[in-house]
Amino acid sequence: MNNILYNTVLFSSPILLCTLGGIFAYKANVLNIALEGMMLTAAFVAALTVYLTGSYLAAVALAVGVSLFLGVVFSVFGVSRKGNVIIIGLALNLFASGFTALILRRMGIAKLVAADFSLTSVRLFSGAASVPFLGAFANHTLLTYLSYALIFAAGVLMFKTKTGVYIRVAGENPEAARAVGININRVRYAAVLIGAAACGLAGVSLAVDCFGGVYAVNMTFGRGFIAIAAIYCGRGYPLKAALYAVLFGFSNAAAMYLQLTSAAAARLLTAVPYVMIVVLLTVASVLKNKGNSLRGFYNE
Amino acid sequence: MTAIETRKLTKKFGDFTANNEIDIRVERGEIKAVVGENGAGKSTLMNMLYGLLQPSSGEILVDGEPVRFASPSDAIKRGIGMVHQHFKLSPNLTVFENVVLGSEIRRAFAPLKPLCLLPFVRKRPALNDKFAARRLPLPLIDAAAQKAAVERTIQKYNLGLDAAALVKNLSIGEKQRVEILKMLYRDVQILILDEPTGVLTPREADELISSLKELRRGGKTVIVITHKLREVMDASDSVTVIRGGAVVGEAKTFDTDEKKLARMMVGRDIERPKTGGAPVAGGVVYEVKNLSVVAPDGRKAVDGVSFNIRAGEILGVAGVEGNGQSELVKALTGLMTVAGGTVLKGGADITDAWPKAVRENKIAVIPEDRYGQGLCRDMTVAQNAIAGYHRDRQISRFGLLSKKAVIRRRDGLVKNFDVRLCDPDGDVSQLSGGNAQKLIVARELSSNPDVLIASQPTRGVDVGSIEFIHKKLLELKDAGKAVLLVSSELSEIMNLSDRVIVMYKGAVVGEAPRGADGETLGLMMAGVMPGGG
Repeated sequence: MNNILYNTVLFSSPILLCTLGGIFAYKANVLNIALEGMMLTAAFVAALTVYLTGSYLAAVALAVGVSLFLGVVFSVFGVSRKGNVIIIGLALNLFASGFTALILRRMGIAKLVAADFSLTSVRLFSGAASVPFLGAFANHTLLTYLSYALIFAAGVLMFKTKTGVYIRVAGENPEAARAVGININRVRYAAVLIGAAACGLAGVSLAVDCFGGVYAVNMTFGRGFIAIAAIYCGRGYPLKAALYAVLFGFSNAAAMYLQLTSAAAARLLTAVPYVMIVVLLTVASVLKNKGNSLRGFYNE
Repeated sequence: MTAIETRKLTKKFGDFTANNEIDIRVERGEIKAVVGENGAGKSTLMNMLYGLLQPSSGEILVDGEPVRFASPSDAIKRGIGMVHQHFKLSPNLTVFENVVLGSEIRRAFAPLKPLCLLPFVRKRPALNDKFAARRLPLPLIDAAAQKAAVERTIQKYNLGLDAAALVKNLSIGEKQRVEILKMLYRDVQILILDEPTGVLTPREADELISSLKELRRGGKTVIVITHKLREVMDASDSVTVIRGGAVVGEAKTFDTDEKKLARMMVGRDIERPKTGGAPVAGGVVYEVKNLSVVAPDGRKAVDGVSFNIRAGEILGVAGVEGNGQSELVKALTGLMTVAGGTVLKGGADITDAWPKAVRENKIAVIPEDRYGQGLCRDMTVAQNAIAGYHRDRQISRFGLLSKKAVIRRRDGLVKNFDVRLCDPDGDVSQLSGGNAQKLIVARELSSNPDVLIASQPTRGVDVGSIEFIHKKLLELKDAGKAVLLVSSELSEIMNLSDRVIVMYKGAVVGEAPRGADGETLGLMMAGVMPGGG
């Protein structure tokens, strides 16, 4: 049980980072589906860095850097050039998946494993790991703790700073921002790049913190999209969206536990988190539309 | 003293000249009305004055100095502010957040302040002040200071707003005052208002006019773009008339009258619609009994409304906007579900009918939101001309549209209803407001309906088109059809309707026959019953 709880805390972290970064683009009304690709690329870069250098900090720096680069690419095409953000996001996702797979193939390996790398040195409160219940919250990396602290930080950034106000206005009524001389594109860039930076961290969290320095093809397994689902369910509010993200992290951890105990259905059980998010999305949407007397499409 | 002046100001969009060598002078401390039909180029002119558009040639002078505005913020810096027809407010932000937007007050912290407690610092006031004044701005917003600053401005100009309210909860009139406040907060000297009364109730419009006069007393210069001549006469000191992108007339307001202005605007005489036509003789065609509608927010938007309309009758629904008229029309036209009550057409129950069934029952609809429900901006005129009637046997066979028949339908509508197009094959977005509305009217009336539900049929439409649409409504009445006319334009209701019902807070609070005076209706609209009820 402690194991499930520990893994929930751990596996929620990448989704949480991705979600908290992604709410800014959501509020700025730029749908960034490239969260997935950014996280995947960052995971690859992070795994590769610890594989080559063994440095955790270098992994963080490079992963965030590469993810920001993808964020700039997304913004140049999607914001400055006003391209279709879905297509651009899709392109980045496909590129991320294909490019990282290509490099693995050129390296002649199916999976990147930084066997020499150990997380022991970067884990905090390791001494408390054996304490019942509380132990699940100990022995994590600083990044994992940071991802939870970011719930609060994202709230402050969104509601207490100029950047946050501008991002919300840019999403709600860009004309309002333009009329007082706010540069909308700059605001949208900021929103996308905040998300990209967070996706960079999410990549590190996934490849290094969760799997100990491993990159396998498409290892994000739709976590970027799960984050988008969490953002939508939480309507861009940091705390609400974070709750959905953690819920998904929990189902992820539970599925892993069940897989260990029942090998026969193991493959099927990996679907649990995804089934859960579909159910959640449906419930969220039903609740949202409850009591809505406005008619949608014709459905006699 | 001239506050603002243009010299041979010209704006071209490609081959199209929107403004041609416009010379206009606005004196400091006056209210200047700029009038003209939709598409005459008033908004283009004002957008140039406000830096939203850059002139192709000519110059703008503020206080006698030539200026160039690259953006609205340049204009604001020179003391020119604009309140747009479509509010540029962010609904989920508070009033004060919207007002200070772009010039937020940040929290600061004084790192040296603790030093002031030291005795030797306290003895030296200069040093003391220096340490206290050394402040580092923080990235955080100081919400309390912002709110206080905005409240001061609200009080100074007596605008009667709650600074902490969310904008989405405000009435339209209040939202407009927030827009004005936004400019006053930035200390503008010249205030431009684009069609400010288009969305206001008569009472709100009167309040606005008195606010504007108040501002003038305070030394501000006001420019009002409008096509409502009554307001020009009420509010302004001088008038400039624009037609076809050029100035066609200028006058001091006391020197002119509505008729002269209308003639200058349209280029010919305008006929006032004759009330009525023949008195009503037919039987009841359309009947609503005890209708209730619950809005998505749980509020009972329409509360037990009953009325009937006879053949050859126009029933007017008056009321201050937001008193359930929108929801009533949406429920009657199939866009909202009904919570209770019945709707009968020719005796048949059509309660909760879907839009398709509404049209099959020969009920035509002119929706209140021209581009929301009436037209699809990014589709061609022809496609819009058949929207909702695309199952018509004449234009569709086995589910396939006949392009020829569609084009023929479009050409017929365009010709009979005088819809002016630049490019017949182009999108609806090319049409001016008046012509877009005429296209809707054309489409709906040509379907040969028994009942017409018309909601705000002339909102934001120029004088010529209003005249035309009113004429068409009266023709429909004379042809023995039933018309439900919902409008917040009281004069429109009074001129056209045979009977008027007034809605207040979702319920019908009164009924008046043809020829009831505006004052009685106005009181009912405000929820005050005749006879002190």
